[in-house]
Amino acid sequence: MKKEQLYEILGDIDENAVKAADAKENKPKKIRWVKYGAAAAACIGVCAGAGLILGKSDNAPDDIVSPVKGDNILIAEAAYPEMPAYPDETAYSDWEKYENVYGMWDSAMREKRDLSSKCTYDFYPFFSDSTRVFLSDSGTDNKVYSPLSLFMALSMSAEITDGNTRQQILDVLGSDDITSLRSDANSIWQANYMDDGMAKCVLANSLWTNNKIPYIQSTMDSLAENYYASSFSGDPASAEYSKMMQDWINEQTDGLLSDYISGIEMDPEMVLTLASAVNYSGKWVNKFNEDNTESGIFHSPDGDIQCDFMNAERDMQYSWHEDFASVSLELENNGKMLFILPDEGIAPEELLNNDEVMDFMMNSSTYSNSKYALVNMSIPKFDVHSSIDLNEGLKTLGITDVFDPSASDFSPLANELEEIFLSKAEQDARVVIDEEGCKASALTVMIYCGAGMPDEQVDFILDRPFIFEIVSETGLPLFVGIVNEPVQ
Amino acid sequence: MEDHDIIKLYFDRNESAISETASKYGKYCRTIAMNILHDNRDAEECVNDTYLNTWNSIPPQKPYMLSVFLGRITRNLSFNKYKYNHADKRGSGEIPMILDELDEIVSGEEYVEDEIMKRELVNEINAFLQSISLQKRSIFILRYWYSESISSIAERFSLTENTVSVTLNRIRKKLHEHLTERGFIL
Repeated sequence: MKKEQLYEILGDIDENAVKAADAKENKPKKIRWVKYGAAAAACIGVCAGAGLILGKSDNAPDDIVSPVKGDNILIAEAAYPEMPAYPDETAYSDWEKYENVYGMWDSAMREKRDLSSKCTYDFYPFFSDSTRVFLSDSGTDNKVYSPLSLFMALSMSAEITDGNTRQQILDVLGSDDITSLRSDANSIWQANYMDDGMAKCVLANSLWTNNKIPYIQSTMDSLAENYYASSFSGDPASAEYSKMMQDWINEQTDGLLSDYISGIEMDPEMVLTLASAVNYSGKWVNKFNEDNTESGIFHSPDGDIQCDFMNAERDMQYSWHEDFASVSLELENNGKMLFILPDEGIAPEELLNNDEVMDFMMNSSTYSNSKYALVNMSIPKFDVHSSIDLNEGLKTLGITDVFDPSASDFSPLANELEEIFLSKAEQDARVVIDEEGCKASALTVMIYCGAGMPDEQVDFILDRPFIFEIVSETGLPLFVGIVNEPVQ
Repeated sequence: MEDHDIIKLYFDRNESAISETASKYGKYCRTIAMNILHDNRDAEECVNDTYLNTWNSIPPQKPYMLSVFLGRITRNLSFNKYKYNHADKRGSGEIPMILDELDEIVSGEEYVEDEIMKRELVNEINAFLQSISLQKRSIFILRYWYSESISSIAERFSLTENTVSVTLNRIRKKLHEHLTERGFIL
């Protein structure tokens, strides 16, 4: 036989196999993330190919729902907790009235703090393991990673999986079982939720299902209740459904991203897209004076570049270690941002492999080698973003079954489906800082007063690659990043 | 538009069948044609011929899977075009490499095509493909049905090109053994 004849004969092989080979899950996906200002998101799409089998529903729970094809509908809505608006002191002429309003706001904040203190979840193992995996190979690029966003996305993934698939996720998160994980995730969500008009930190979770595939209503309701995740059903091939997702994200992010997300389209073959976004913005307690911002040289790995440095001289906590120095800048009622400058000759990635550095990043406020000093600060304005393909990293961490259609168990999601697997897990994040900062307020004074006179003066010049970390008000790492080039 | 609605248009002899087909599967067919021909003009010609061929085939034929039905026509037309273009010289692109790979399975001797034998051979290839893993099956089909490049297949499955090449090599050897053990003279 001639080779050309064999090529022609192969043209007549089984149509099902031909179609399955080119199924969407065998194509590189381009589900892109979402973020804006200082925020991040993780998108996980669970996709099944055209060859999926819809079995009998005889043993299915009563709450399996088959939505009407063509509908784009909300099937479970998350109700965010009510939060009193931050009372603007300058808007009150009546001091007593202001005290009352402030008291209500302060009580709400205390409740949140109490909730956080009751949460026994140890974030450290997941934080250190995953940060090392996802920031280990930044090369000369900037890298931004949100541990909290991935924690939420994985927790929800644990809810929609079962058996060994779920166990692998629980192991990586360090949770004993799904019940305790659910409780911890709920506490973490509530403790970190902030939307009082002054500060914002919202873990906006959502699930977008394919209306050709039955889903289990109780699972969606549970995700709405415990993870504040809204679920939707629709035709992923329709422009209307993609638009619906864009509108929802717009709403969650106050329309800040409308231009950016307008190009997001769903994969027509997807079974489920799970989007977990951290919408975060904070203002410096002490903003930088724009008049002191000066152009300077940043020594990036690819050569020197010109960028704007924000300069200030402040009494502040200064931390040191044999391999790095660090300062942190407080954000109004919304945590702080930590800057870690490796000593000359030490790469940021190298620093992340040091357990002491990880300890410091998780517990910087109690770090022993810290003292108040007069710090001459020079911090580059930066706008950095990165796109991290989570697939390989998740496998490295030990989450493998979700990627294998023959091993994955997604029965809590839709038990009639076989061969569902995680086709794409990606996290895109962007962090921007500039001079903008605080408004004078009573609260600021109450929280941040008390610095003693420094007994030493130090320089803290971030003119070479460094690490930053945005820590939430409750002390959890919202974002960790490596800045190699302040201006991309 | 759903496939069965498009097929109904063909049966109704409604010419919008072609525009609906082009809208839904034009890109799919163009990709196959380009994989084989590596020439925009030739590929476009084969895709247009695919529509005409389909118009003439349906009815009486009623496709089981419209996408594969169209893809197969595009594949055949494109390969004929390739053979015509390269009757006396080795072509460029993927096909020369794919044919060299397939050459490892066959003897290269003249083979008189017999529809019954051909059907049995196809059935046995199908049986073989069913016996290997889904991923291996997909890699084989993407290479020898869709005529995709090794790098493109590697990207689909997040594998290295070397892994894909080695995998294909093993599948070819196994296919050869499978067929010869069952009495096929290749």
